[in-house]
Amino acid sequence: MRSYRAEGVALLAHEYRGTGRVVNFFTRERGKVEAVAQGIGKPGSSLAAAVELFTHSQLFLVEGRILDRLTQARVLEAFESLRLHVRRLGHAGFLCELLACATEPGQPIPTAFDDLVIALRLLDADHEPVTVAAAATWRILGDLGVAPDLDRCVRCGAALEATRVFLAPEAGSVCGSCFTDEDGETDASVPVSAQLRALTGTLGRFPMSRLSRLNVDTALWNDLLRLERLQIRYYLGLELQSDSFLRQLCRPG
Amino acid sequence: MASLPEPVRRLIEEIERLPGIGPKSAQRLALHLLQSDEAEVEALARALVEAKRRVGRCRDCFNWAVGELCEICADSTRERDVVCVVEQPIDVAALERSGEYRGLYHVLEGALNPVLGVGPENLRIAALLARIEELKPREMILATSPTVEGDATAEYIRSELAGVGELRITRIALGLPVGADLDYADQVTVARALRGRRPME
Ligand SMILES: [Zn+2]
Ligand SMILES: [Zn+2]
Repeated sequence: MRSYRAEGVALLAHEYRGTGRVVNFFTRERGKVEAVAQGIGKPGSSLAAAVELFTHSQLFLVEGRILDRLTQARVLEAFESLRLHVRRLGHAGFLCELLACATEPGQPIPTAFDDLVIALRLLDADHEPVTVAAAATWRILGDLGVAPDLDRCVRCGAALEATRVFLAPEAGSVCGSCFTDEDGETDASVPVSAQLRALTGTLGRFPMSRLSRLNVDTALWNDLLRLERLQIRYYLGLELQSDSFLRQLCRPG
Repeated sequence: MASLPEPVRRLIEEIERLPGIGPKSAQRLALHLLQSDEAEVEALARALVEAKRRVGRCRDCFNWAVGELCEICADSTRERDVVCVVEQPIDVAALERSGEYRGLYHVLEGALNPVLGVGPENLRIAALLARIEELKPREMILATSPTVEGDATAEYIRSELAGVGELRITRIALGLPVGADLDYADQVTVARALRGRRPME
């Protein structure tokens, strides 16, 4: 039984034998780690705070045959304001769920971990949730190597310059000559303006922590968010629960 | 397991579906049942079926109920001007054990959770809002768990009901458990206990 330490964020937790929990952490050192934490439901549990959703902690674990075991934890950041703002919570949930669903255990992606932690920090500190979510999702898709290519036409390979459309079923964008009227009329397409392409280029190079210095229109962030959602649904084949959560918050009444 | 008689295999399979029960525990429980008196096993089976058949949700508060209303809603001596909002019927039982509370309850049947896709529409929040409008209570106590999910749920309900008439909205006190040593508590709990401090009377 080897013990190890890791810096991690709690992505989601399920009840396990009464007061226990099975928790998915996304760690800097080992990627996704599934661990059992015992005695969480009891008052005064020293592990309870670290298994709370989205909490960033220093974790001490012991390797197990199937599941690792959380033995000690020290909370680094609890991101408490997420609890007070249900939309921020939804966007934090989206990023965490994306990593929970799109990564395998034991596959460390330190850049994705760092992007996640900075995104949670920005959401916690009252940055516009759509901006943070769109920027962080783009960076995380890049970290995972699954960001859509907006620079080349998926059909003829030509470099894209003028405004065209991203097509989710083909996981790519098309140039002016390959574009047909039908392409523009599906629910699974997003227009790719020169500004949107420039924004995605910038996000690839720009440190997440300096996000507030970017001066970008809200509409453009929304386009980016839509494009990412389509890529996640069609290319990664994921229906994220957080998405239906966020949709419920948008509905009036 | 192939060597076990079919009814035993099925029994083990059914027990194993229960939450928190692994294959080993399921086998142990099955063995225990097979060794018990037939009358005992029949009593257990009857209790299972009867609980399932007779216990539903209260029409007004969604607590467990035999019949249309739960015992609390049906009790005319309960105070009708306070409503305590909880996640599950089991929380009603915990609050009742304290003997401190004489008002009504409202069971949400869960808490907001983005990663599990539990949004406001999946909880009894619309029913709560309608009930508050109808009952016009003096106070609503938000007694969801002090977890991310429970806090977010309480906050969401608070924001939905902000500015409704004279309603006083309170949150159960959060902080250190009775008998806990301060130096063993995690920093989140200690920070909350500090923020929730109150003048000594
Ligand atoms: Zn083309
Ligand atoms: Zn009732």
